[in-house]
Amino acid sequence: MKILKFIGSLSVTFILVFVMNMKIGVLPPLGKFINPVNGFWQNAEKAEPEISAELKLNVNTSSKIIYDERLVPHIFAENMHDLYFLQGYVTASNRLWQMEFQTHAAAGRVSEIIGEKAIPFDREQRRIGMLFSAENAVKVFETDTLSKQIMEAYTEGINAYINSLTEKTVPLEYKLLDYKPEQWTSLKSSLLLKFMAKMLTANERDFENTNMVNLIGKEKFDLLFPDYFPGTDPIIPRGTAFDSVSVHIDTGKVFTEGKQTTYAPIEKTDAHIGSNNWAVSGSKTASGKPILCNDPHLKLSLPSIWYEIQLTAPDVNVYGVSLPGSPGVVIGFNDSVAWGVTNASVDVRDWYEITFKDNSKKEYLFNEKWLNTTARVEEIKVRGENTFYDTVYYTHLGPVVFEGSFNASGSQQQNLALKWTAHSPSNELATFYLLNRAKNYDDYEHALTFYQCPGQNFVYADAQNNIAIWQQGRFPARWKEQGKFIMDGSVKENEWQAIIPQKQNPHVKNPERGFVSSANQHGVDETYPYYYLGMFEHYRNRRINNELTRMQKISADSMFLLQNDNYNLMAEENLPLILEYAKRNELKNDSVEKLVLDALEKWDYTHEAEMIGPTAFDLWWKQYTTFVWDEFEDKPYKLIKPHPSAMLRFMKEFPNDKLFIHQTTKDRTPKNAVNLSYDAFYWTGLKINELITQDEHPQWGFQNAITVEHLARIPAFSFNNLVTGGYKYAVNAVSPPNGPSWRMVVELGDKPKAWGVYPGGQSGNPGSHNYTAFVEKWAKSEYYELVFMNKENQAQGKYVQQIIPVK
Amino acid sequence: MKIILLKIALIAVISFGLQFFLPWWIIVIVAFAIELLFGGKTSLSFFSGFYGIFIYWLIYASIIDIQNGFLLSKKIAALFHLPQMPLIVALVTALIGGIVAGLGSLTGNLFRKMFNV
Repeated sequence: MKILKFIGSLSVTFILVFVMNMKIGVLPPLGKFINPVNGFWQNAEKAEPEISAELKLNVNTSSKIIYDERLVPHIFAENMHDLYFLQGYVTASNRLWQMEFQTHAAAGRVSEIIGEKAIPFDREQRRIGMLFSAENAVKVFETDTLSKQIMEAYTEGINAYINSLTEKTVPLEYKLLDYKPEQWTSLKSSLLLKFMAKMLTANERDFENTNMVNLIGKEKFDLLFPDYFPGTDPIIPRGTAFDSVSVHIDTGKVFTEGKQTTYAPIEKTDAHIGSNNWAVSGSKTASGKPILCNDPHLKLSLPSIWYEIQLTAPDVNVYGVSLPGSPGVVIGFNDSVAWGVTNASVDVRDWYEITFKDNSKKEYLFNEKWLNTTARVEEIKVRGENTFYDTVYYTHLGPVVFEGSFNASGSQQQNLALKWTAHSPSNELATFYLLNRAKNYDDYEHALTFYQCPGQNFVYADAQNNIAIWQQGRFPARWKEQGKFIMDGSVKENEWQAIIPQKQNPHVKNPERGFVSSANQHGVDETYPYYYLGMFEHYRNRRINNELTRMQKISADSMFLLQNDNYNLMAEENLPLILEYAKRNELKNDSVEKLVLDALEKWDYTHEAEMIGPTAFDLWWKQYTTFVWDEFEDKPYKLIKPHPSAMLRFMKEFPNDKLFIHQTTKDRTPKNAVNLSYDAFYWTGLKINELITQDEHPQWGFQNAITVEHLARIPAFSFNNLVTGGYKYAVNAVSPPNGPSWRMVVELGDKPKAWGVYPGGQSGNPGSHNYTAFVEKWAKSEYYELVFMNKENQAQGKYVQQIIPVK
Repeated sequence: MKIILLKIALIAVISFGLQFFLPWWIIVIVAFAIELLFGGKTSLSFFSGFYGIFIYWLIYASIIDIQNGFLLSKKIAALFHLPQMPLIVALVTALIGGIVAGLGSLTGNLFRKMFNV
């Protein structure tokens, strides 16, 4: 009996300990996670950061890290190795989990962490060639001595931090998801750049266009999806002369008869990921010195995609934001120059239909010959399950992403290969290394020649009062409409025959108008000698240009206002016609539709948080487009709606087109653009009434509330429902889940003055008071003055940390 | 009565010392060992381990929680659908630690009882 009691008690204890040491479903191992000595409690930081005055590390010479009040590290090193070593160390100490998670995601290794539910995601990453291209990129920068040294020092710094970690000090998310950081490698840094490349260039619409053109015919397609919108105001001002085509390309045939494809298109760049940047010459500023501004719009996340840092060594003193996982500063300034980036949005991804000889997929047809494929076996490790092996066949047109074994639905047997500039080896690291040290325009121009993907608009200003912008990247030289639709991969003319010579990439220096700007619009007007294809913005950029043209005696303050400008040019252009159409219908006084109409008539086209007008407009527009496109709602393949500018023209010129017939209305009365407009008003009125009666705030700030989401989508670690103004078509492009991820204003001069803010905090630890330290300031459109230190001026440092060599 | 207070204190102090080098479940072994050494009424033996760890973990977690301004514990509470009130998570932490250590001390006591000492 006593033995039984003992055995019973022992078993219960043993099982409980065992269970509490094990990850069950999404639950962390409870005992490990909650115990106060090693568990999550150890990630709860005191309000005052604990920064030791001295740190022994593997640096060559004594160095110093000074933290300012906002915990921005200012690294003072004596040589290149120590500089990048310390950048790696400091970044990892604040953002290690994020750095590794993003690179795991890029590499298609999420299943290793969360198990089999991530296999489709991982397969997609592998099949589009993320790991393949990162491996290629490593091969290239390892042949470049300088890049190799930087990478090695940075990697060494990160690993110094990783090796110092214990069960107790490992970042919180590792404890929660129950895994451990592995050693950093240059492959991981390379993967991070591919992560950015995918985020910013997956904007091709080959599938959608092919499906659409089959449905409505080429004539209507051209009308609804034109290459240029009326009034396009390109980045390179109209009238700038271009050299003629300098490479030979044989024109092929536009492949519009291709079959509709029911393949689920892969993860795409959000249409409202974009950015603004501009630089104004001293002739337009109050100080007589140029001012440069940049606000990249990305999916807002926690920890923030950006980490602020200043890097100082004998040959460099640069301040700005870095991407955790990549050495150097990506957007920033030094004593002499400032630069910023926006996405070029040029199409650099094309899809080809591949004809395999047989099921072995060893050979494919090209130019009437059978060419060999290369098989690459992707090994996807899965937590708690067997490893998943996926074979991807590579052609000279890229990896065959879709084939029988992946994402096939129904009887679809199309094989589709992806050609993408991210696949070719490149060394973007060199660009940032050189930009960080640039002294003048020539340095900037030289730095850009190394940059390939993702294509960016690099805006530039210097203390000698030069301003410039280059659209830089590796862009295919296309014949007209090449790559707009899925292409036949067996036809020789369809392949990329040449790349636009770097010197012919769109650029302009010191234009007459006294400013340069970009906001993801067309880079060039119709006189550019190469066919120009992409997904371009049409409103923010013109608002910026209108404002900058009008403004004189520009100061940092007026730039803050412009970056946070909530004016909706799309509404200014589209709303009058909508209202006119609505008024042609009989509207009863006091009816809901009349109330909406009145509200919109009084509205000034700004998307301020406290207004109801923008809510009504947004609801109306969404509903109207839904009504117009209801014909296509239940199609089994992906389609895309036309741009508001094309819609406006269509409403104006073809108000009786059959697209305006509302399919879901039971009475089947023939409708047109005019009474469909009324239907949408009626619906909007009901919707707003519903918001009011259900006590959901109809004010725009609540309707457009943005959540800055934790990277692992854990609501408790996210900043939820931030009420703020802004709109996707306004300069302040807050469009959940995307928004301005870093706002920066730099005034150059004898000494640069700069301001900035991002919706996050320097610490990546949800248990730190610095995790979301800047979010509320960002939401209020306020800025911090950035502390630019040098050897003589370190007064604004709050914590000083001496770095002592171990040897 | 005195002996149980002594056992509680020993379990708390020794666990505190060892937990810095050894995995969290060392608390169960400590509770087991102390009961094995001291013995006593089986009906009370659960409570030596329970209170030893409950008190130690509660104090430890509460100190961290207060210094952290309850920032992280509120997020953890949200994560586990607990009420987001100060010290709730510390209390739950202590309860869980207490129960598992209590089972350890009970087992230790029963082990000793097998040999009729």
